[in-house]
Order: sequence, then C-alpha cells, then structure tokens
Amino acid sequence: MPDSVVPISTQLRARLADLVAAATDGEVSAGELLAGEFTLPELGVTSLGYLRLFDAVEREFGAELDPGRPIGTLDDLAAQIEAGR
Amino acid sequence: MIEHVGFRGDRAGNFPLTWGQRGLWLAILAARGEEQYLSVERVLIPPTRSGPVTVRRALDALGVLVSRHEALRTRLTGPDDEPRQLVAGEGNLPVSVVDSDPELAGTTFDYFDEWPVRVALVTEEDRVARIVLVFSHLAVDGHGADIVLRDLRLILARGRAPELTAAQPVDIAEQEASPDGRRIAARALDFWATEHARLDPVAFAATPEPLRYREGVLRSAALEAAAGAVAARLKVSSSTVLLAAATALAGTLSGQRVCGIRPIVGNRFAADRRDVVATVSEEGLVVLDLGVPTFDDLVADCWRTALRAYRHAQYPPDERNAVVDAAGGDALSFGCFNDQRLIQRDDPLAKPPERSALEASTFAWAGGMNRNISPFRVHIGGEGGILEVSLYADTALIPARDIEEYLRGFETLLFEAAHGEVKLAGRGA
Repeated sequence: MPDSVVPISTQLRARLADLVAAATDGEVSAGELLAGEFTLPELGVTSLGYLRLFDAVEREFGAELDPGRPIGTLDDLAAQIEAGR
Repeated sequence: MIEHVGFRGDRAGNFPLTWGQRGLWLAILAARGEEQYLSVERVLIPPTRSGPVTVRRALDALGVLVSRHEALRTRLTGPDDEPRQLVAGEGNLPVSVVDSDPELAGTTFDYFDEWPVRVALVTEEDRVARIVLVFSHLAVDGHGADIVLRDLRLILARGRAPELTAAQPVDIAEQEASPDGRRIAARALDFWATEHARLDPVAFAATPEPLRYREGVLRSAALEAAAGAVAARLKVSSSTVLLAAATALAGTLSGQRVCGIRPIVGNRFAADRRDVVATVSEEGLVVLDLGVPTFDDLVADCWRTALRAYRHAQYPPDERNAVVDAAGGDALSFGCFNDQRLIQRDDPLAKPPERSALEASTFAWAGGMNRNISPFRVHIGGEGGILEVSLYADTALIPARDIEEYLRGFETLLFEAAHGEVKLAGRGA
C-alpha cells in the first residue's frame, strides 16, 4: 500500500468512528472504536445505532450499504462504503 | 372549567398529507367510529424545581408548545377519501381544568373540526399536579408524543425549549414529494415487491364467528423474563426475540414456511427526523424462512432481516397497498407487529424464569372493537416486569380458540428458548 494512502485511511477511520459514536448517542466512544479491541456488536451497537449509522453514511459518502451484511469493525464499514459507491 | 389557550404560528394553509398521516388516515377509516384505540395518551407530572406550576403557568406553556409544533394545530380539510392537512396560523385550544383525572380518550377525534390534542390540567389545591394529554394519532406517533412531553417539561422548567430544528409535517410532505423522497419510496416499494414475492401461500381459513374480530391478551411475568433471557443470551434486543417468536407462531398457524410480519417502524433514523413531532411511523415487512434448525438461528436471521425491513419502511401507503395487491395470490403477510413498551431496557444478565412462573400468567379477552383494522395484529406492551402480548384477529382467518393457543404457544416457545436451543423443525411450520 503506498504511504500516501495511510493518512486518508486514518482520517476515514476517525470520521467513521465519530459517525458510530454519534449514531449511538455516545454510548460507544470513538476512542473505543479506534482501539479496535472489540467489534461493534461487542460494544453494544443496537439495531437503532446501525440504522442511524447507515443513514449518516449514505448522506455523507453517497454509499448505499446492505444492512444484511454484517459490519463488525470500522474496516468492514469502510469496505462496504467502497463497495456501495 | 374550560380555559382557552391562544397560539400563533408562522405558517398557515392546506398541504398534502405526509405518508405517515395518510397511513393513519387509512387506519382510521378502517376502524371508523371505534378508532379511539389509535389515540396516544400521555401524562406529565410538571417539574417543580422552579416552583409550583400554577394553572396560569401551565396554560402559558401550552400556548408556547402548540405554537411551536405545527402538528398540534393541524386538522384535515377536503373530501374524506383524499383529505389534506390544514395548518392553522392562529387559534385557541380548549383546556379542561379539573380536580380528578378526566377521561379524554373515550371518544373519537373530529379530525376536520377539532384540534388534534386534548388537554386537562389536574389540580391539587392551587397547583397543577398532572397534565393529561391525548393526541390524535394523525398528529403524533408514540415517539412524537414523547418529544412533545419533553418540550412541555422544558418550557415549564426553563421557560423555553431547545431550538427547533426538526422538520414539521408540511416540510416532511414536501421532502417526500421531492426527487430524493421519490427515490426512497421507489427503493422501499421494490423491497416490498421482492420480499412479498418470497411469501408462501397461506393455507388456512376458518368460518367467521358471530363476533368476527376478537382480541386475546396474555399477561405474563414468565414471558418478560424469558424474552429478556433469550435476548441476553443471543445479544440482541428483546424486541427482535419477540418479533421472531411472533413470526414463528404465525407460520405455525398459517402453514407457511416462508412467513411475513409487518412491524411498525419508527422511521426516525435520519438525523433530521429524530425529534420530529409528527406521525412518521409506517409498517415494515419482515419475511423469514422458518425452515431453519433452531429458534436461535431464526432470531439471528430476524435481526439481519429486520434491519433491512426497517430501512424500507418509508413509502406512500396507497402505492404500498397497490404493490401488495398486484402480487395477488394467497400469499399474505401478517400485521401489524407493534412493540409499544414505553421503557425498553434489556438486562444483559437476565436469567430464565422458573417453570412455576408460568402459573401466574393470565389470558383474557379484550373488550369490544369489532372492526376490520387488520386480520392479524400483535401488540406488545406491559410494564413492571409483566409482558402483555395481544393478538387481534379475524375469525375468518383464525378461530377464536386459536388466538388463545397462539398466545400460549408464544409463551411456551420463549420459555423453552430461555432454557436452551429449541428445534423448529416439526413445530408445524
């Protein structure tokens, strides 16, 4: 992976972490998500959290996500955004 | 005593209905004359931090509240089959001042002539002890009513509510008619067509009984504990567990392996919809293949499937009905499924109930309504450790005795699932 991609990816991860935190009303913090130790379901992201997240992602990235596909991590989410554009 | 509260707003005129209002209007027409069941009732105990709330203060706060939310000063206009929403720029809301709790929800609203909220101030000595509000469901859904209550509490406590950023019903109708709204609707209608096509035909019919529509209610602490324990074990919400159980049991009755149920979806996932005071809820369609090995598998499928269904629950109801009607045949989904519990806080460490807890459960027939509001409707309610599940059904589809059997089966299924994996094969689906 070229070095130039890394900052973008880091930035994207940080933004996605913020979106998840907002979707869960802060129940899950951006810090916990970025630490990557636990998956979104393990951190307690509920159906409502996922639905808010899908909407926020769709608006911000123009990407339509498939709610039927599991999103465990920020990397899963980034991959789905890429696939959904 | 009746007082009158003046209100005034920036917008007035008549506008198209929102999809949510239209859906409710169709439900009202189906139950005409007995649609009180659709009203939304709330009671606010006024905050006392800034001193006792007098009748004057409460009336002033109500004036601010109704001025703030257009939904609370919107009536209908036009013909019965195609009404429009009529927003009043100013007016007076009657408020009863009484010394004991009034019955405000007993009669149907006059949607064309009456404001969509009835209010009573219940006084004790010289202060307001309770504010009772009954809303027409055309104005608000359950979440909308809760936001109205939050605002009223803040207006009483601080003299004002937070800045209003959420869309009003007229804005929502405008968004729905925009290209973006049409795109959302088209996606939802495609989803409905695709999912509806998966349904198996329904193989059952019964002879309508003299009292054609019946509603049975099961009240059960064991069910509450069991649903909580399954939810904790499978790390999903108890609502998902109950939805999966409702569908599994419906399939047992209907003989469908692929069975569908229509949950009421809040439609408040978008940031600008969270605080909307309006009826934005509509039905989703959850279609499940019951031919999975265990109930645990079904719950896992249900979680994923419901998530997709919740994303596709915004559409013009007439167009949704046309899609379902066009599919024809004997395929049928059941609806609605409405989890109306006011407080839903699942305990992640919930334990399964003892078998003896089943003995305390009670079954009863609910009184009266005999209208074609739905051939099959499951409601979840209850509080204080008791879960209340009701099934309202058309006896032309399900004999009355099967209504009780359905509810008892619901409890048995979840009791067993709380104690371990339940095999679904051979349960009749």
